[in-house]
Amino acid sequence: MIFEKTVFFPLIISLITTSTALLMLAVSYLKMLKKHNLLLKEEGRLKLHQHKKEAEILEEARQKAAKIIADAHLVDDNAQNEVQEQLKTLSLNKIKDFEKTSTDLFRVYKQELEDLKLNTLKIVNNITKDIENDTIKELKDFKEILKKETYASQKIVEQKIEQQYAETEKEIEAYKEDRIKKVEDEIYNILQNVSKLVLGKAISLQDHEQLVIDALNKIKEEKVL
Amino acid sequence: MNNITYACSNILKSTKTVAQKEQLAQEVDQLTASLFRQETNAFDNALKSIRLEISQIIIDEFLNEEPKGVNKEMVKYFLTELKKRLQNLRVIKLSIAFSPSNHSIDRIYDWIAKNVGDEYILDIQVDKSILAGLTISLEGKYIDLSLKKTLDEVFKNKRQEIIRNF
Repeated sequence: MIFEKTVFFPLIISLITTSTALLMLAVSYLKMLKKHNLLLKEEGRLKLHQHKKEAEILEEARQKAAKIIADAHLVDDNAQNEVQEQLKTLSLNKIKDFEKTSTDLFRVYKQELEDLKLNTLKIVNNITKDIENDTIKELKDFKEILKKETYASQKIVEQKIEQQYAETEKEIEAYKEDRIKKVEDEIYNILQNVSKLVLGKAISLQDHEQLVIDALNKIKEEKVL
Repeated sequence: MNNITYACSNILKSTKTVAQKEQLAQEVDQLTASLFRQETNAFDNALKSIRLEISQIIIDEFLNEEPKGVNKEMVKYFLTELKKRLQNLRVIKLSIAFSPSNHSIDRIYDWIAKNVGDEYILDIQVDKSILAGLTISLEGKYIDLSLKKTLDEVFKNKRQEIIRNF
């Protein structure tokens, strides 16, 4: 299939634009994926760090408690129980705080991820929409150019056909006239020859003589000699 | 002298064509030559060798009046005169479409003699292509009164009509 220059170059430009947009989209997507992975890793790291911190706080609390117990071996059982109770309460409160903090953090990260996802999707959608619009516009332009080119080519072909047709018609007419003239000439010659043959044979000697004398009389009348 | 003129006219009347003229010229030459021969009957023998109608005219005009023999000088003069008049004959060329009989030649000659002049002889050519009628050539003039010409003119002038009717 052979394209005209005016069609080929817009097509190539359209293809290049589309390819570039797709490439940009792919690169952007890859970047976001990488960022997402980094965030997931960060989340894991923070969770680990939080657990470690919790364990350290618990250990510290336990050591402090043990020290207090050791230091206060003389304290009575009630006081000991009370301390134990308070420690337990403190631990529970701390655990609750940590749990709350952890839940909050998780929610915040989740929200961030959701927002990121939505933004990414929005960007991707926008890019897709732009590409679609560009492509539609390019295709529309291409179609328009192709239509114009086709129409122009059709017009030229039509003109050429009409011209050729007129010339051929003219040639046929000339040929027809020539053939008719030839046929007429042949008919004429045949008629003339036949007439001569018939007349030549039909005239008797006496008639010949008389025709000669008549001709001579005609000469005399016209005073030619 | 009158006899000579009369005899010449008589002989020339029977000379109507170029062929007859040539034949007569040969006969005159034969007779003239015989006059110079030494033989006694040379002229008589020569007379016998030519056409009867010619020899008869000569006998009637010259020998009957000369019982003692031929007056050679008179005959010589006659033959010279005849030859001279023969050479002065003018030729009218005719083309006709048929082989003419003597009757045809006579009719044509008589017409020419009466209407054009008796100093003419006929040079007749047979040309069947003219179909009928004749063509005449005389002293640079050419007249075509053939049927072929008439037919050609008809075909030329009424070409379209002929083609249409055909």
